[in-house]
Amino acid sequence: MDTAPENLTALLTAFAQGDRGAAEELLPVVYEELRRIAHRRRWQWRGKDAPNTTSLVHEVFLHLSAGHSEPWASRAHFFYFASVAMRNVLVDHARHLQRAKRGGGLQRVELREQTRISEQKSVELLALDEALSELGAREPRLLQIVECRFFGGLTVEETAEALDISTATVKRGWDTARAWLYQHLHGGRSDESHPVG
Amino acid sequence: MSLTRLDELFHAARARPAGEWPAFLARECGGDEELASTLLGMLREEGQAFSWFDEAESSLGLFWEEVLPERLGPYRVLRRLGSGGMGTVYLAEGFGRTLAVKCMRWGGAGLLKRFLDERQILSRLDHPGIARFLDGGRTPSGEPYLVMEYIEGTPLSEWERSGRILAERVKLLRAVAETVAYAHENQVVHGDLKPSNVLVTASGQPKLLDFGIAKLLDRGEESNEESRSIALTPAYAAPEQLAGEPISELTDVYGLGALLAELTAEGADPWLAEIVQRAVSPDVAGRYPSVRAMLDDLRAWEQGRRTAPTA
Repeated sequence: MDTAPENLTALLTAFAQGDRGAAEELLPVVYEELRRIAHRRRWQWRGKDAPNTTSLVHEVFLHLSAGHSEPWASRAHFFYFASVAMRNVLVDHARHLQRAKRGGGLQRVELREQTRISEQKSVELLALDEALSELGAREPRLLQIVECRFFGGLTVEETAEALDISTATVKRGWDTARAWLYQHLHGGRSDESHPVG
Repeated sequence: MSLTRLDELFHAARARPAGEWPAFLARECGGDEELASTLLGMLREEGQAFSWFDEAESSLGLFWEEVLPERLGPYRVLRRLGSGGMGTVYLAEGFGRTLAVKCMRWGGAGLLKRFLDERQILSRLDHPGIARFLDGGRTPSGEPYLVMEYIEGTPLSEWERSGRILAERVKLLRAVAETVAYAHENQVVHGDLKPSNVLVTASGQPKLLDFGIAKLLDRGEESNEESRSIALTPAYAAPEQLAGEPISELTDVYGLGALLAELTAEGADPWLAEIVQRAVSPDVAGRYPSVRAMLDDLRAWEQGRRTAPTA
């Protein structure tokens, strides 16, 4: 596979313009980098600290663009793409854990404490992913904001740059999206959320 | 600027005192009770939503730990070689050697069984035309992997493009057929013969890869044809395979015929075309009864004995 930065720039541009084929070519490249960099950083993630996804994305970007004299026109596009890639990787993993559990394939294997925890979390993540797809079907922009903020760990400013919208719009959309997703996942559990009128 | 109506209504209502929300939404949502109800819930449970997200975000770390394993058992992963229907193959190193490590694709019990079958199948085969099985194990999170000899070679599809004469092509196909015949003698049907599953080494030895949907003939196994068909490539799959019927040695005869057809341009040699026709007969009864029988005709062609194919 050609992973030259020139080619990546072209792919990112194509992706930003809605070319899904470009995403398929990009994903393995970005995934490889995420994996490689995550290896090096693993030791920092012991205990309760979540990996800093923002720094991951930044490092992947720096590595892929290294040795490329011209600055990427599509730095922002890359950040959005990496966020989507992260969502894919994590959701695939969660799905795998669930399937393995349902199929009984891995049942007899002694699971690490770590794995047991994330097995519970995988249920939540898959539900979130489903809700997110539903949100995306109605409100594509809100979906993109969640992908950047939640999966890519991007700041409000970076998300605004990646999606080419204002920071105020990102902040508002992020609030709306979280509130909507939570309603979709857990809403209606209290008496207060009965239909109005 | 608001992105959408949902966004707009949510923020417009939010700017008002909570007591006014129901009336405001009833008015603004224009009879869309579902929307009004969703929005009211969103407004009332905003705080819970935000803390749920904070917690969810921090749990992502647990996933990263597992998603990105640095090692597979005692093997250090160097890079990904490729992904197929059944799994991903990594280049790895361990015990001072460079190896290929295949990990199962994320899937359920059916796929897991196929994967473990492949390990068992490879462990009983020892032939220069087959990537050697070296080790098998599971990662701490339970994912099985198998370790094979790493083969540096050219995929058949690429090999054939670099100006090979007909005799050279037939010789290569014959070497593949010899390997398949060896597998059959060890009760193994490959079931997925296609150009991308054959690598040709620098010395010209073809190596048969990916026994991912192979089948053990001597085991009274329950039908697992369903999971077997997941990874199939329709262009090279025999009719009985596409129909979801059990595979047999004759399925590989078909696969070898399809490979021969690809290697020898159509119509180039009527005798070879006849061999192809007989190998790829849609009806299994019309095919060569075994790979050995097909090999006899291939050898006869190589020796210039142009008699009619054996009946």
